[in-house]
Amino acid sequence: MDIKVSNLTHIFSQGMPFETIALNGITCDIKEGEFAAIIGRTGSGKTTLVQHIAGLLKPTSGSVDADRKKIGIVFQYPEYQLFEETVLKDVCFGPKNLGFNEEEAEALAKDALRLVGIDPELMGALSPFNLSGGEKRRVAIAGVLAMKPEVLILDEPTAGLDPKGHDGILEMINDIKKKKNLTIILVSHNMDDVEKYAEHVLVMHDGKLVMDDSPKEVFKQGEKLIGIGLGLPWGETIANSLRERGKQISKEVLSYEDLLGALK
Amino acid sequence: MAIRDITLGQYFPGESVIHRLDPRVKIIATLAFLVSLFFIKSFSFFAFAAVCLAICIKLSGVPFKFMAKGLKAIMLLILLTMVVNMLFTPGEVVIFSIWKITITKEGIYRAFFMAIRLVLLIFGSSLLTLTTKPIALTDGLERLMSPLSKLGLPAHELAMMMTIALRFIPTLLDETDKIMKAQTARGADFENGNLKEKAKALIPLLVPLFVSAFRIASDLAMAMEARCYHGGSGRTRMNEMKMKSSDAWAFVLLVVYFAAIIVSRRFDLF
Ligand SMILES: Nc1ncnc2c1ncn2[C@@H]1O[C@H](COP(=O)(O)OP(=O)(O)OP(=O)(O)O)[C@@H](O)[C@H]1O
Ligand SMILES: [Mg+2]
Repeated sequence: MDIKVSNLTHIFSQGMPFETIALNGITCDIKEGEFAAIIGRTGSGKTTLVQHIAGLLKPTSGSVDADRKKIGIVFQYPEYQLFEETVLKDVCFGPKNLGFNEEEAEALAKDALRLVGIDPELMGALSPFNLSGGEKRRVAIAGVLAMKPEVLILDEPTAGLDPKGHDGILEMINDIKKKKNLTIILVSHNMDDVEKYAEHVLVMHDGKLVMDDSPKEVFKQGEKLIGIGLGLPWGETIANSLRERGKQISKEVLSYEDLLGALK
Repeated sequence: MAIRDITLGQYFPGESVIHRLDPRVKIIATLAFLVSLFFIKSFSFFAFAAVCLAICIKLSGVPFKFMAKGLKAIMLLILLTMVVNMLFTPGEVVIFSIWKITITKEGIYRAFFMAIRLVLLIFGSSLLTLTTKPIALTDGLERLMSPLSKLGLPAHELAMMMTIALRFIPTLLDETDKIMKAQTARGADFENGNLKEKAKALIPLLVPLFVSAFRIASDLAMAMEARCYHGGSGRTRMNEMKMKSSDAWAFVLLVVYFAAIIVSRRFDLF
């Protein structure tokens, strides 16, 4: 399923003095099976945009063309939505709401837990509140995966995790995408992640979509990205510094690997 | 209606005369205004009170539309009061009666009387919260209550508790909004179903909300302790409250207003 966003505008508290135009005429396409990333400074409207795609907000004007039932969304700090007595029960919540019976829901939940690297036999009966932060987050993601979405939206899924937990979650997402042939929409602040995983980058600034292209094309416009308060992947940053100091690097450099290759 | 649109206790930023009045003056004036509403016996003086309030609202620069939004939430309460008064006020002049229901002139009179009083009560008290920052409000209360602390009333602690409560209303509303959206995305349904189903649907909302509330509370307690907070004794303030001449004038006007209301009780006006 492709997702089509046309001329989407969202205004919070319209007509009030603290009115905010969170989205301003966004038009974009996300293709089936794509790994898309949305980047942008704090307050640029990323969360609002993905909530619209998931059908959780009503547009002030414009529209989103997508089948809401096939979209799963994992919020920022999703571990704060856990509420059941056991991990397994919590993951069952989504499938049960979809109308699956107890056994079917449990089977779906166990599959989802295995996908996120949690052994349902070992941890299924624990209270979700007794898990570590990283485990809680995996359980919360499983809670969404158990509903078998075709599109998985993740709003900063690695916020607050240590580097190892961070890489673990992203690798896991990438694996699941390949295994299940999902469309992924990742909201991120981390340019290295975007460079490494994304096939399509949407850059937001002040509620507007300012770039919509492949990572390669987007990161070519370093000045513009820095101008709107974003960074570049570290490889590119270091390459630029080296160039400034007179080192000749002719090839295009984005990641560390590129840089190492270029310096050889 | 989005959760965020609830205007309860909200502050409306501005620089008007009303905004700049000393919070103590505003608190006393609001209390006096609310009390005065219970002294009023006639519609003509309700009109007088309404005009005085309207002038204050105009001066404050808070759009009327914004104030009326707060009224919407309690419209039901007002209507209910009106109906109850209309039906149960005994009276002589019967306007019409069907079956056991009789509507009297006195009933209608009382119904409108109560409704107007309620509306003025709401507008009067929301003007205070709309034009006073929560911090200033509780500081003002603390100062007003401080003479009572000699009698053992923990004035500072009470004020601090109110400050914190007010400060966290929007935070908790935000949190509710977020959790509701997250659970909706997992297929939770907060709108449909009978009462029992609806109550059950609240569990996925309330459990995470309580967990969040406790987390926020313990973080805050830790942060306050880390900055050596130990209650009110010996605490100084960054912004000392000072009465200005405008505050004195506000006081004079208040006394005039109140006197007019008291005097009005001596006359039988409509
Ligand atoms: N419920 C709301 N009510 C009013 N304004 C809101 C609401 N949610 C978001 N906003 C405003 O809309 C704008 C966009 O917010 P949004 O949460 O989409 O930003 P974001 O790009 O996700 O930021 P971050 O990186 O900090 O998560 C901000 O200015 C924000 O203050
Ligand atoms: Mg966000």
